[in-house]
Amino acid sequence: MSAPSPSTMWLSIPSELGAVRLLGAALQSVLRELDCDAELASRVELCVVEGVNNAIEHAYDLQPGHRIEVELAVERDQLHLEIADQGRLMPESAMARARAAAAGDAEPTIDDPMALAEGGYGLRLIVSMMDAVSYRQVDDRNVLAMTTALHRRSA
Amino acid sequence: MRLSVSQSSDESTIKVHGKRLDAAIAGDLRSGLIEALASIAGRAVIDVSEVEFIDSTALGAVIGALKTSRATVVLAGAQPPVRTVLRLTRIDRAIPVRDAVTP
Repeated sequence: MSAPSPSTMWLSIPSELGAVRLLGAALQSVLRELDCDAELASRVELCVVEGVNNAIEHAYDLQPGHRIEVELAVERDQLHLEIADQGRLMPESAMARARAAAAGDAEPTIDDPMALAEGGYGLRLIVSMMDAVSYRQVDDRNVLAMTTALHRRSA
Repeated sequence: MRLSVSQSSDESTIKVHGKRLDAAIAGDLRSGLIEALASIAGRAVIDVSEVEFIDSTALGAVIGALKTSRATVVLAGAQPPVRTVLRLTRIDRAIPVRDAVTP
């Protein structure tokens, strides 16, 4: 990410699922202030929540006492979001599976509810809902980066 | 999050009271739905019209509960954010989603 501009901010929460709701509320408030429409605000909140949930559940194995950082930056008409943890690195195969599922070429469509998987939808939703998604290790941090166009209500 | 069950002549409705279904309450959602669905054999309508936000963990809880049930489950009254999640995960191909809460 480039040098911080006045429209960059960081939010951090402890690695507890109960803390995610407040992060969502904070994001909604920030996005409203940026004149985002309801659809975008809802989509961004969900993607950040999914990324943070993944960090809590998989990077930190639901252990409390760690920190998850969210960076939000506006650059012209783009909204950049990063979610960083210092836990276990997500395997590359998880991102590849999510991209394949989002593209619809992973598996045949399931029409029997009994055959539905109970998990593994989070990263697929992120890939489906954002324009660009990447995951990388930077020093001792795992960073999930997402970008989407910033539609403003007033635009 | 709270659930209430009502019955009409041909279907039972489980209403989800709460705007947010997320990972923090997914366990309660799953056990509540399993309990509510246990007594329903015919058509069960899960009324999600109050729900403004659902994450994939809560969605997994709904699927998990549904798989324990003999009922034919339909989701009803989903607001746009919920519909979008059901569509992008293609779960709406397996679980019917209808607009109206009442038939």
